[in-house]
Amino acid sequence: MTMDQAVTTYRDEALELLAELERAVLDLEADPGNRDRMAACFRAMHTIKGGGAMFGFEEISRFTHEIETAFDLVRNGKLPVTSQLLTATLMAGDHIKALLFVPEGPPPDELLTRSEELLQVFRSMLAEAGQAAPATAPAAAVPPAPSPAAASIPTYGGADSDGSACDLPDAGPPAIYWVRFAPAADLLANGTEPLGLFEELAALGPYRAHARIADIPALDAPGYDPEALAASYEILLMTCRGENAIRDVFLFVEDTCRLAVVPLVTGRLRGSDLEEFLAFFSHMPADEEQTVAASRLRTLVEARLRQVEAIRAKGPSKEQAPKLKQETAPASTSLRVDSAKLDALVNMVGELVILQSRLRQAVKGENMAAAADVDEDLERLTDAMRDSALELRMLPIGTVFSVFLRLVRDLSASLGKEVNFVAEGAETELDKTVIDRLKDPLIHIIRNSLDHGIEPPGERTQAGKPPAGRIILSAGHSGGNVVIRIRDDGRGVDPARIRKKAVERGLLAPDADVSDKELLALLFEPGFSTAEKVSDVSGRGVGMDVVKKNIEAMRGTVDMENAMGQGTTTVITLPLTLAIIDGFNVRVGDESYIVPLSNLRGFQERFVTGQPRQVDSIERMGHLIPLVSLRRLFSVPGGQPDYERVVIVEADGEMTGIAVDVVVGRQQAVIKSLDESYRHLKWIAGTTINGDGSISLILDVPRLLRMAREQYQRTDERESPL
Amino acid sequence: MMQEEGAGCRFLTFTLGEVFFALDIYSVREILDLQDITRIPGAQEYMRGVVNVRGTAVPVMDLRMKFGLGRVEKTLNTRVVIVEIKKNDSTVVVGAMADSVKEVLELEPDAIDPPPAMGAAVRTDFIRGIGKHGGRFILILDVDKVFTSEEVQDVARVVEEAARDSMAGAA
Repeated sequence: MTMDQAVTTYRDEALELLAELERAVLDLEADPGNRDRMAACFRAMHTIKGGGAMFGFEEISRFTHEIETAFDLVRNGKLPVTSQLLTATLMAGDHIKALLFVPEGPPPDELLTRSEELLQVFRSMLAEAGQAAPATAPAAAVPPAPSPAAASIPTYGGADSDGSACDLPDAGPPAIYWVRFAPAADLLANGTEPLGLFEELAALGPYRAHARIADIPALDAPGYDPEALAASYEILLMTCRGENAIRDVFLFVEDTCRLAVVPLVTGRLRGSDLEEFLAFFSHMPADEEQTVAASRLRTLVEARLRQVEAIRAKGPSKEQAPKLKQETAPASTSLRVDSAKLDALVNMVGELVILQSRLRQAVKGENMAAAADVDEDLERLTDAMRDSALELRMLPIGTVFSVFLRLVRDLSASLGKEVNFVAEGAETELDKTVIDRLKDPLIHIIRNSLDHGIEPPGERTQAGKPPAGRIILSAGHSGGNVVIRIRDDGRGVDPARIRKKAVERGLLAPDADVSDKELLALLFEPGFSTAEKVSDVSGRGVGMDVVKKNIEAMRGTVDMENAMGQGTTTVITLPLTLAIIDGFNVRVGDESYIVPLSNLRGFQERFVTGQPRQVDSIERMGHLIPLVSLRRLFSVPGGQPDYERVVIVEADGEMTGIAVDVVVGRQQAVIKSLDESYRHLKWIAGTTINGDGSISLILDVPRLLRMAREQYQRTDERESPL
Repeated sequence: MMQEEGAGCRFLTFTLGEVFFALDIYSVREILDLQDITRIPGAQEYMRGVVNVRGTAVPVMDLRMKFGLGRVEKTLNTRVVIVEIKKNDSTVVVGAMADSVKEVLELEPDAIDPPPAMGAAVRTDFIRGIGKHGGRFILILDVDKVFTSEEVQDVARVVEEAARDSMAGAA
C-alpha cells in the first residue's frame, strides 16, 4: 500500500467516523445521558486524531486532540452534555471534514483561524465546567470515582496534553521557558534514565526539544564509548508551574549536568506553536551568549503570542462562521463490503473453475450429454454470480439518513420551527451509485418540507396540531423497485396558489380545466416556486425540476400527493440497480430493441393494410389508446409487414401501444451506457450486448412517447391549416 | 503545433475515396475489420451507429460523410479505426470508418505544411497540417476536433486549395 492509498483510506475512514460522530451527537441530543454514545464520540475523535498524525494531517490531529479531551471528560461524567457542546461538536466535525480535503501541505489560514475559533469554544466550556483534567497528568491517572465507561476503556493520558497542567490547583500564570540541558557523559552509568526526565517535563506542560548533535563522536572515532552521552538539548516548555517545578525535574542530575532555565514570556502557546521556534536553535551558533540568544528568542515568541491572541480575540464574535463547503466533498469512491458477500462470490469463482475443467473433459471426450450438463450448471452459476456481484454494490440507504437528521436539526433551528424527523427502512438496500445520486434530491425535498410545509409552532397549535411538526422518511421495496416516501404533516400545498402562479408564469391558460394532480405536476416544471419570498432555504424555483431530472436520470419517477392542511408526501420510485434491466426484446426489421419490463403492460396484435400512419389508435379493454409505429418513428429500412405485434406500455400514467415486427422474448439486459456522442438522444436508456454479439438499444419508454407526441403535434400543426 | 519540436511524428494513414488522411498514431487504439453496425435512429447521418468491441458499444463515425465526401461502402478493404480521445479526465473511444488503411508513416516536421487559409467560409481548424509523402498530399487530422465537433466539414475544398497552393509553390 503506497502512502497515497493509505491517505485515501484514512480519509474514507475518517469520513465514516465523522458520520458516526454525527449520529452519536444527534442521539445524545435526544438522550443526553447515553454513556454508549458519549464513548462513541470519544472513540471517533480518538481514532481520527491518531490517524491524522500518522498520515500527515497534522492540523486535524492537533485540533481533534482538544475535543477528544472534552469528550474524555464527558464520558467520565465530569463535563455535562449541553446543547452548546453538541452544537460545537457538530461544527468541529464539519471543520475536520474541511481539513480532510485540504490538498497536501499546511491548511490555508482561514481554516487555521476557524480551528482556533472552535477550540476557543471548547476551552471556554472546559473552563466553565471548572474542570481539572487529572487524566492528562500521568501522576494522577486514576480518576477519583471510576464510572463504568471509564473502567472499560483505559483512560487516555498523553505527554502532549496542551496546557492542561495549568488546571491543577497550584498552577500559576502560564509562561514559556527555555531550558538548556546537557546531560553528563556518564549519566547512564549513574542509573539515570534521560527519557524519564523528558517524561517528567511533559507532565508540566507541552514542550518541544531540539537536540544538538554536533558533539556526538563518529562511530569510528578513537576511544568511542557507546554509553557516553554527548548530545545537548534546547527545550521550549510552556507551563504554569513556575521555574522551580522545572528545576525539580532535574533535581538529582543538576550537580553533574549543565542546566539553564531561562524564563522567556508569560503567555500560552500550544505545543505545535512551540515547534516553530525549533528552527531558531538549529541556526543559533553554539557559542552565542545565552542572554543575547534569549532576548532574540523572546522577541520571536512574543510576536507569535500576539498573533495567537489576535485570533483568539476574534473567535467568539464569529461563532456563526460562514458555512464551510462541506457539501462539495466528493463522494467516496471506495466501498465497504460485508465479507460474507465476498466469500460467497469467491466460492462461486471456485465452482466456475471446476465447471471449466468439466467442460474441457466433455469436449475432449466429445460427450454431448456431459457438455449439456455443464451448460445447465453454468447457467445456474452465472445467475447466482450475477446476483451476488450486484449485491456487492448494494448499500443500506440508512448510510445517508444521518445527513438528513443533521439537516433537519440545523434547519428547523434556523427557521424557528420544531420538527421531529423519523427515518424508517434504513436497512433497505440500494445500488451505491443510486444512493450517492439520491442524496441531493432528498435533501432538497426535505428542505422544501421544512421551509414551506411545516408551520411555525403557533400556527400549528391554532390548527389543532401538535406544536412539533413531523417529517417521515421511509424506504422500502415494492416489486422490482425501491420506493422512498417523504411525508410531512405541514400545511400542504394549496392547488389554488399553484394555479394562480402557473397562470402568472404563463404555464397555464387562465381558463384551463386541470385536475389537482396536473397542478401538482406543475411544481416540477423549471422556474416554478410558490414561495412568496425567496429564503435562504428554498424558494428559488430551481429545485423540484432538478429533483425530477436527477431521479429520471436514474430511471426513476417522482410524484407528489397532497392533502390541504395535512401535509404533502413525495414519492420517489427507483429501480433496484442501474446495472441490469429486465425487459422484452422486440425486433423491427433487422433492428432489435429492449422494452423495460417496468413499463410493459401487455401484448396485442394488429393487421395492417398499406402504409400505416406513424401514430394511430388501437382498442384495448374497451378503450382507444394511441398506437405508435416504431418502424415509422425510427424510419427503419425494409418492407412493412401486414401483421404486427403491439407492445402495450404505460408511461406518465397513460397506456400506449408500440407496434413492432416480432416480440422475441424476455431478456435480462446488462446496461452499457451509450457514448456521449449520442447523449442528446434521450429516449435511449442505454445499449446491451446480446448473446450473439449483436447490440440492442434499450428504450426509455416515457421519453420515447414524449418525443413521438411532440413529433405528432408538430405534423398536426403543419397539416391543420391546409 | 506538433507535439515534439524537431522529432518526426508517426502517423497512421488511410484513404477516404481518393484522398489520403493521417491520424497521430498515439491516438489510435486498434484497427478492426468492418462488422455489423447497429444503427441508432435519430442521430446525425454520419454517425453510423455502434459496434460491439469486446463487450462495449463503441460509436462509429463515417468520416466520408463527416467530410462531405460521400459515404463509406462496405468492401473488403473497409476498416474501422478505433481512436481514443482524452476529454477532461475521461477517455472517449470512437470508431472511424475508412475505405482502407494504408501504413504507419514517419513525417519530419518540415514535411508538414500548415493548413491553407480558406477564409471564414471553410473551416480548416480540424486539420493539423498537410504532409507530403511520395508525391501525395496527406491531410493530417486533429483528432480532438474531428471527433468532438458536430458539424459536417467540407474537406473537398481544402484538398483543392492545398493542391493549388503547392502548384503555385512549384512553379
